[in-house]
Amino acid sequence: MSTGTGDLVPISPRRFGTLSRFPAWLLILLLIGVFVLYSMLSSERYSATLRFLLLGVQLTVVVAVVSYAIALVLGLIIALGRVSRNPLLQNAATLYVEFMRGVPLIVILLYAQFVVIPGLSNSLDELLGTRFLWQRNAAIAGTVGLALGYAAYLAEVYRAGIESIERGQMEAGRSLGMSYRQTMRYIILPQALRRVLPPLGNDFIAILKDTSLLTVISVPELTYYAKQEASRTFENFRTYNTAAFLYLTMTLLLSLGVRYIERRSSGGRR
Amino acid sequence: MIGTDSTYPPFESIDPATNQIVGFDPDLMAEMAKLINIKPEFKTTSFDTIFEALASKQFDAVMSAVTITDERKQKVDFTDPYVSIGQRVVALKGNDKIKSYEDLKTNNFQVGVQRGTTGEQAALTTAGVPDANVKRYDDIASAFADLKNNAIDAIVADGPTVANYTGQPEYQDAVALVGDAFTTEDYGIAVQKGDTELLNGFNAALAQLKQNGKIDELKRKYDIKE
Repeated sequence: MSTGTGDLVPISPRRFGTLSRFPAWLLILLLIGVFVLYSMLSSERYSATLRFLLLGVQLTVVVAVVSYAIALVLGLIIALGRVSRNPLLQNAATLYVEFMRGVPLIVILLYAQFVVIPGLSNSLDELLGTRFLWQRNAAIAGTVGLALGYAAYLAEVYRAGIESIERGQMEAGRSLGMSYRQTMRYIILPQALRRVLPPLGNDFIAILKDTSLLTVISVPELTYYAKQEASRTFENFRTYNTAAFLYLTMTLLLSLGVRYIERRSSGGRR
Repeated sequence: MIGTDSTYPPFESIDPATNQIVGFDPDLMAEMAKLINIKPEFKTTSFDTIFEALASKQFDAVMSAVTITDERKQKVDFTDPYVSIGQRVVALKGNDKIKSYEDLKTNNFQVGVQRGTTGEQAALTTAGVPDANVKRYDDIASAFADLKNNAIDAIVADGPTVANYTGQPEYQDAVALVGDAFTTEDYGIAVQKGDTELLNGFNAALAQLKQNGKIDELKRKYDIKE
């Protein structure tokens, strides 16, 4: 530290004191949120719109959570395929990622509802004599479509994490007598997962917003109700304000959650 | 510039051969353009926001198989009626539980409609289908895709249009019209509120085309029955 020259005084990170850490943006957003909520509840027509749109919130959350959970698992499996040295697995995983990443989600959803799910459900029903009729509930096609699409995005996130771990660790594990699988499971993955927590969290927020695409296959989620409200009242400003408010409330809560997990997981290292 | 939702044959659809908007409405507008000094250009748009788009001056007029209703009159102005139609029901072939529109409210039937149309209103009010069983689509083409896949039980929409879809090769073996029209509605051309110049021009042209039998001729051409 002491070089003897004495003319370079490092700026103390405490210069702005605790003020620099104060999340002013959060306070401002909270104030705006409270103000908007207050003005909505004090206007009869706004609160009617709010009550109507709230009908779609539950399905929005359920679809987001379920499709994200599937994508988390499927994405990890695909990522392991991507880094695998088995050319068959590696090619299959890469094909999946390139295909799903290259097709817009909205097209995947249209495929799911109008082609894949009816075809699958009808042939299963024919084969087994059941009456699944999965096409009757478009939320199924919507959840499957979102999960399959996001699995490709998440696989790339996982892969980036795995490849960010130094090669030497795999070699060290192997030279200690651990198998590839064991080294992956006990050494590489725990570190990789910690590194990719922030981008994984971002994708949860993204999937929540992308549930709005399900309105094209008539899944009664938040945007579906918003479009219905707008088309029957012709009040676009009021309706989409309310929809944006509800989406923001959900995504901001998630964003805070992601920050919390991020801070906790990097806690011991900085 | 005229706004239209070009998924609604025989009134407006995209000709697969030329990719142009064709149908009864463009033909009628072309006839009107010969009488009054306008150069109509049709632009395709989604129906549930079509009146908003007109009110915000994206278009000069909307001609898109639009039923004249009091609600819509608060937002836009309408010409005199140029054709009358009614709502009709289409169901899967072999569904013998749907014999008329009155059966739609029974058996928890799922009824597909296009969002923001009079078909949606007719399903809810005249046919009495519970709100939760009315499935709204952005366009009627998606509703037909779902009906064919047995994802819904029936569709309610404008008679000539469901008749046209039902006659298409992809659908004629799977779906069938049920009963007759159960409402009476008039189509009009919508213009921006207060645009009396265009409104008067359209009305004068429509009156003349009614008189000289041109509208009846177009109705025969597109097989539109009242």
